[in-house]
Amino acid sequence: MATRVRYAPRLAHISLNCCVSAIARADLSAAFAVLERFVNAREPRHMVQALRVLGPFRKKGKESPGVAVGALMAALSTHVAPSAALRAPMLALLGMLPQPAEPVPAPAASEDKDDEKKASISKLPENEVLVGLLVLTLLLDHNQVIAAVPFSLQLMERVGALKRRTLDPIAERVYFYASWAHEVNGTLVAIRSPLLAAHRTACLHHNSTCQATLLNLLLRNYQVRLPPRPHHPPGRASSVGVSPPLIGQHRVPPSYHAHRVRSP
Amino acid sequence: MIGPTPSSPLIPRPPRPPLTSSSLRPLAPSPHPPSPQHYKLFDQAEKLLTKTTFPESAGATQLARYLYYTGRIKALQLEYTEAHRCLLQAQRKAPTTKGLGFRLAVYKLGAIVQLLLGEIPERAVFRHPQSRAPMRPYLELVQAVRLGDLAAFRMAMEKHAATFTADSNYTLIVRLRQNVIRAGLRNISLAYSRIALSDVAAKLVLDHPEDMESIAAKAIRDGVIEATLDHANAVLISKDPTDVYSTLEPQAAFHKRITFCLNVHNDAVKAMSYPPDAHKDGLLDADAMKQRQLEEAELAEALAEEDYE
Repeated sequence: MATRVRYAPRLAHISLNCCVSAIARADLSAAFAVLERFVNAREPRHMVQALRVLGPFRKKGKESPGVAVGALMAALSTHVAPSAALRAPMLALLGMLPQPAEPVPAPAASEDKDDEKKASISKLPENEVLVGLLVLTLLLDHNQVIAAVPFSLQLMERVGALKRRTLDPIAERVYFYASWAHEVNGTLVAIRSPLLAAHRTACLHHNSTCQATLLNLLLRNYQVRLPPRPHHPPGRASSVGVSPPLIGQHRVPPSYHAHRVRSP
Repeated sequence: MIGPTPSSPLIPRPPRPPLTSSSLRPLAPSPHPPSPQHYKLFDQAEKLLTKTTFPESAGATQLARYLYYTGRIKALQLEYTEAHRCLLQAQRKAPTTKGLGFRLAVYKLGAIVQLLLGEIPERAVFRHPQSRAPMRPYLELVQAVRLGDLAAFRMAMEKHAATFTADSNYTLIVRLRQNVIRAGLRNISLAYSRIALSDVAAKLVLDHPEDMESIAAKAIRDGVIEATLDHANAVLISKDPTDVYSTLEPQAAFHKRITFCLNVHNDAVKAMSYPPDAHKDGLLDADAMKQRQLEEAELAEALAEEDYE
């Protein structure tokens, strides 16, 4: 009895971890299956169901990032085409995050049954963008903002290049999180013109979902006052100038602008 | 001084701070409230609003956000009535249980816009257990504006300046000072039939008592108080309060309420959704239509025969 008590917690922990990671992978697979159904049947409820994976997955990613990273790596190997443009950058970014406790199981290719199963799994571009969105949220949740900013732009470019109307509901979320990443980083100016371009495209496509989101993001982009970024040392321009002893009410100290010049 | 000056290439002159400040300003996206750049971006946002239309089929949450941002732009551009309309709608479209942060932002801005309009916000928002603590600084502002107490207003502004700046409402709150003075002036004109302007300035605790005459003149011109100014004696003479019910005031109040009710009705009609294909139930299928046509043709023939007979 005493021996069981001594070893039980460690065993329970390992089995629980395995169980959680298996559930995360299963959730993602189910989402991809529903996504495929949406692409074939174009029924909006399937997309709504697929996007429901975002909330629980983010929660899981916050609690145990290793599990989320493992599930995303597995999804990249099974559900995303090897030639996908974002596959390599996503793998590199996932490498920056806490790694899973147990290695990601490699897909077994020895049996015929597995081969058939593998062939039946479709590697849609929608899967790639959904995984990209999950990677972006994971980076934001773990304060990897510096890495998240260029990746969010890459993801937006990819969405624009794919030109698939079935991507619209996912694209809406991509724009939102990309704008958020830039806001957290204090570089909202950099994303303004990509957002304007995306809004123009959405208007021309009569894509009301993205149109509404992008218009709101742009309005926020114009209105939000960015906080100063303390981690940047003062630049040369401001180090050359000497602050006057008394500054008028309507004059902003030059040091205030220093971080903004460099921010885009 | 600020323009280009000839300087030796060997001894570089450090640029003056004002030059640095002015040359960098166009590059900065949105500085502190006093800078004009802040308004420039609002101008751009307003231009975007005029050039675009919000899609009707978008969800309620996106619409609520859109209304909030529009309300903020309109408030900064002095269009308070329009801003109030947008913010009121945003409050109604916002989710009732979730999104507390958004709802608080809307309530805060809505309260300031109402104060700028000369109205007093409802007390329910300040009493709700969820919003009581975050709305506390705004409650102090409302109390100061309602009583016309300039000292209390100044104290509330100094005490909660950080909160107001964080909420991006500082610029709008600065504009409330005039409203506080006017509310105080109205109370004084009701209480005194004749009072010296220096006494009014002392009661209002003005920074510059010499401005009192012009402030009073402006208030009389805007219809805030019913009074006259005796310039020679520097005295404010109040007129007898007129019966409000003999003016157009009640009509305006009723008109405002009726417009609101009509808007609610129109929105309800718009939002009403019919079940899909419900209108097709009343229609007959092809066979029934054919049968009915045959019957009608027979009836017509019978009638025609009757006519011949």
